Amino acid sequence: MIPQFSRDDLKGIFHYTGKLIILIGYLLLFPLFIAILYKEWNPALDFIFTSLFSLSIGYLIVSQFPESSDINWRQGMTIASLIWLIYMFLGAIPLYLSGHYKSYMDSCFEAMSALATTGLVLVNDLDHMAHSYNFWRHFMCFIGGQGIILLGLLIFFKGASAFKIYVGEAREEKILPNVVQTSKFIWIVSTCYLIVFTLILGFVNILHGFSPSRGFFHAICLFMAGWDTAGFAVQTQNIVYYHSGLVDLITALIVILGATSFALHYAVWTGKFKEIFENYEFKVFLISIISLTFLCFAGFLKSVKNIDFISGFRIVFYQIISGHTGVGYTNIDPYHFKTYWNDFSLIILTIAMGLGGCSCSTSGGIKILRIGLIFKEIKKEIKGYSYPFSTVIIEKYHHIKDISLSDVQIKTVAIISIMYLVTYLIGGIIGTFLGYPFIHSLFESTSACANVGLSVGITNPDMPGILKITYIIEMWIGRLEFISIFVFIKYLISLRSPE
Amino acid sequence: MKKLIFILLFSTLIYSSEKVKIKELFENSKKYNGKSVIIEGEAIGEIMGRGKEKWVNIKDVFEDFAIGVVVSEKDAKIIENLGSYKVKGDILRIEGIYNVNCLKHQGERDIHAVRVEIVKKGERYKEEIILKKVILCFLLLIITSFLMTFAHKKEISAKE
Repeated sequence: MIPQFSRDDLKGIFHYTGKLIILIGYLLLFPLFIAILYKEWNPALDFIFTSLFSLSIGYLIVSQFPESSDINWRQGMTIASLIWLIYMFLGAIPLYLSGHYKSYMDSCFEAMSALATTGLVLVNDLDHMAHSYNFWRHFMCFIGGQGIILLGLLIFFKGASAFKIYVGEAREEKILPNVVQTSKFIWIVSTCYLIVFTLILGFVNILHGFSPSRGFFHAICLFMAGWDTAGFAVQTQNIVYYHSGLVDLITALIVILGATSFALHYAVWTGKFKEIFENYEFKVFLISIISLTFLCFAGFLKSVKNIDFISGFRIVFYQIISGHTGVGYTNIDPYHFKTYWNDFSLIILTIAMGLGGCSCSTSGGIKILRIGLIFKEIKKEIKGYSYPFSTVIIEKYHHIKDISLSDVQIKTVAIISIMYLVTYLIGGIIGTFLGYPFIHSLFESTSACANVGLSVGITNPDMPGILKITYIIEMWIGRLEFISIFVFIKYLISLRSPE
Repeated sequence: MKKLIFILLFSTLIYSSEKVKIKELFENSKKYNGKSVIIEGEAIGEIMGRGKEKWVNIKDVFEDFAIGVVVSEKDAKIIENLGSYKVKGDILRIEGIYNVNCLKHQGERDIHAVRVEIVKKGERYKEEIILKKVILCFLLLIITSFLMTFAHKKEISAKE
């Protein structure tokens, strides 16, 4: 018999949800600091309002559910799913108050896009946005990319509850024996890279003519959105704004690092450099990038005339890196895709987006490890037919340690991969139903669900509301990798029907 | 004689330039690629330098379309206000050659400016603090302080 949710589950769910709402109340102090720094007083008031509003709700919930007992799997997954929606609604408030969005739904879209590290935008007149609002957009990318729960783990969750809620946020790998230690490590690595790359990009910007204050502001924002593979940028033109091959190169490096498994980062940080060359997932990732770049470039050269080899390669390589890692940064505009890219190149880029980056990284999509394991399973099946029936075939791969491929693992990989593909397709069909060309709809849907953010121009403030809601759902379920959301939906249904 | 030829060529260039919206350059890029165009828009962000060449990003005043324009150091100096929060940038009228995949600039979509002039000076404007927001925040601060104390007390009693 399938265990039903009890109303007692509510206590744990509400207690920890309340705590996590309090957390966003305090996180809003960061953009408030930026507002004060740049003397942006009305935005500062908007952040004070949203912070106090979040704190009020959070403390109200905690006062009604003050007991912090251990939580079970169902509760963990429900909290993980629910909190992402709540963060979207709360995070959207200052954006809406900024006056840069047509409606509250548009600001919710932008907030979910930031939190899920997608990078699709509905903002108007970004070039005149206050630094603090812009910082908040990028800071949400950083919070969401690292993981809301991952941040909560440092503060609220202890013991067995910690792992149950950690898994709910689409993370299975424990880099260190304890998930709280794992969480600490991920935050330490990210903070170190944040300091290093903010300095590098800041100085590059200053060399290009930025003032120090603007140069470092752009640098920290670019890092947060790049490392967490979100792809938001400070200006409307995205990376095009900088007109710099050097900025392209540095941001490409940041996103590759962001899309690399934290387990591999840990191995390198602890001196196991050999792991870079032995890690199966990383090898598949590199092979995939190289082969897809080659294919896409071939298609691109066929459709785009009057472009030299280096320029063409710069464009194609950057889009493939951007799509594959799920960042969505772009050094061209959506009209370039529409006008110059043929269907073949767009399909290759869609495949790159759909595959995504490495597992246990900030990247979205199916994830490269899963693709690699599917190939291993195919190899195993072929071997099975080549050997006598009674032969036991064991397929191994190296991911930090040597692991034997199990049927259970393959089953999980297949289920999640299929769910991604079906969701890409459903979004594509909805877009086609609303009058967009199928290839473009599929591209945009894959971009939303795989949390990429590249766009052929469908995503804009005037797009149909139904498509905005479709993409919000796709971004949400794509980020959390389905299971925890299904548990959450089941929980909602079980509340309606008594046991 | 040389001067006359130059004037004739220059006036031909001006005459052949077509005034277009920036959005139009994106939507019908094949039509305008390699041709002389005139655009009007707000200078935004910063002027970025590459030796004697400078990049200025020009944004359409009414729509979210912006394009990079390569200008000379001398032309760049006339721009005083660059659009950002609390700053309305100078509105420029730019005449130049439009390139979809510029061979000189690693495939970028750009305009190589021949002539730059300011149509309207930009300005800095002051931010007015909205009093209603201040009052609302103050009231919310009182409510939050009360709820925070209440929740802490409840949590302590639950632990006991």
